Amino acid sequence: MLKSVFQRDTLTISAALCSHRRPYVYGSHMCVAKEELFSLMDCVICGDDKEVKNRKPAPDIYIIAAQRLNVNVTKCVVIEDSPEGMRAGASAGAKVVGVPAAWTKEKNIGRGVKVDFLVSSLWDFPCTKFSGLTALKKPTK
Amino acid sequence: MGSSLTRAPLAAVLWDLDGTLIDTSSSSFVALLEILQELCQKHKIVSEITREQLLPLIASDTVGGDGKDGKVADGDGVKKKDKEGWAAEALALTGLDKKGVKPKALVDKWESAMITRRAQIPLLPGSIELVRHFKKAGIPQAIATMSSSRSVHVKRSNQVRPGGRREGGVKEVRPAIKRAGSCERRRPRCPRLGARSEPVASAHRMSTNGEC
Repeated sequence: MLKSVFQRDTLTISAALCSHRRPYVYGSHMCVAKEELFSLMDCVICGDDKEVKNRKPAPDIYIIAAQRLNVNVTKCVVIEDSPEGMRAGASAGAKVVGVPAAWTKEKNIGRGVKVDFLVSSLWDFPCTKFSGLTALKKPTK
Repeated sequence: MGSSLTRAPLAAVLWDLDGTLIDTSSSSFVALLEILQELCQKHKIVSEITREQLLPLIASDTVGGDGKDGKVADGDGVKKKDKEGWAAEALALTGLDKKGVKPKALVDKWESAMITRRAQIPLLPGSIELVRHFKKAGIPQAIATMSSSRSVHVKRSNQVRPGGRREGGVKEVRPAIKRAGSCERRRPRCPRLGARSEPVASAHRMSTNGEC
């Protein structure tokens, strides 16, 4: 529609799309960010991995992940959104940071699920509670 | 909670994927909403279904597990559902079950819709920033997801959608030569939200970003 409006006159008008959407959410920037996200991972373990015998809430996948990174799982942090994932992390012996999804009511997480920290967004990850980490700076709007 | 963790050692960060790093549930929610809308229009059903009723049905692990082993969290723990269990529940909520719509039909439609949507799944706010932050601190990271490796590959890459469009608006190059008889016009896709004037499910009024 904008194009047709501008083409109606012979005037040359520059047009720009202005959106409040953050670039990592949609569009080509999102694709780049997703590629970057995976490239920053040291390993990716999927549910069909031969070593993963039991699904979450069994701790298998997190124990295997720690083994592949050559670290002690009890010194790892598991970041999860679902109660079964949080159970898996806790069963493995890791510290668990819960970032509940929209469908996971916080009241449900407290029932039989051990969570060391519960945050509403990844921006609120408690970096300062862990050694060697500084606080994550959230960009101002 | 957390007080005993002051300056705890951090050897590595183990991430869940669906619902933690990427926003899978929004995509599956919109896909389910559109399919239910289409079915309600087809069967002329007016359904009072809410976002809160639908959201638990599309729990991230249902998507993450490719629908093979849907799991929905409830207050008492994990309630394991069979592949068509969530679909039967969605059909019952809308009244489509009384019109003879089978759960398998809904599952099939939903799975094919999700295949086209996987490459469009957005990152969750703060995910890339936090991953970069850990990397900068020299902390090893891993993704541990119950999704299949094939599913993860699709979610990771910028796959070409069946409609011919690639993310970022670049069109897929189509072969110039077509076989005789293959040039008939393609059938239109599912009707868009509010495309018909007849009464439709209240779910149609929900916008595609999942808000009522």
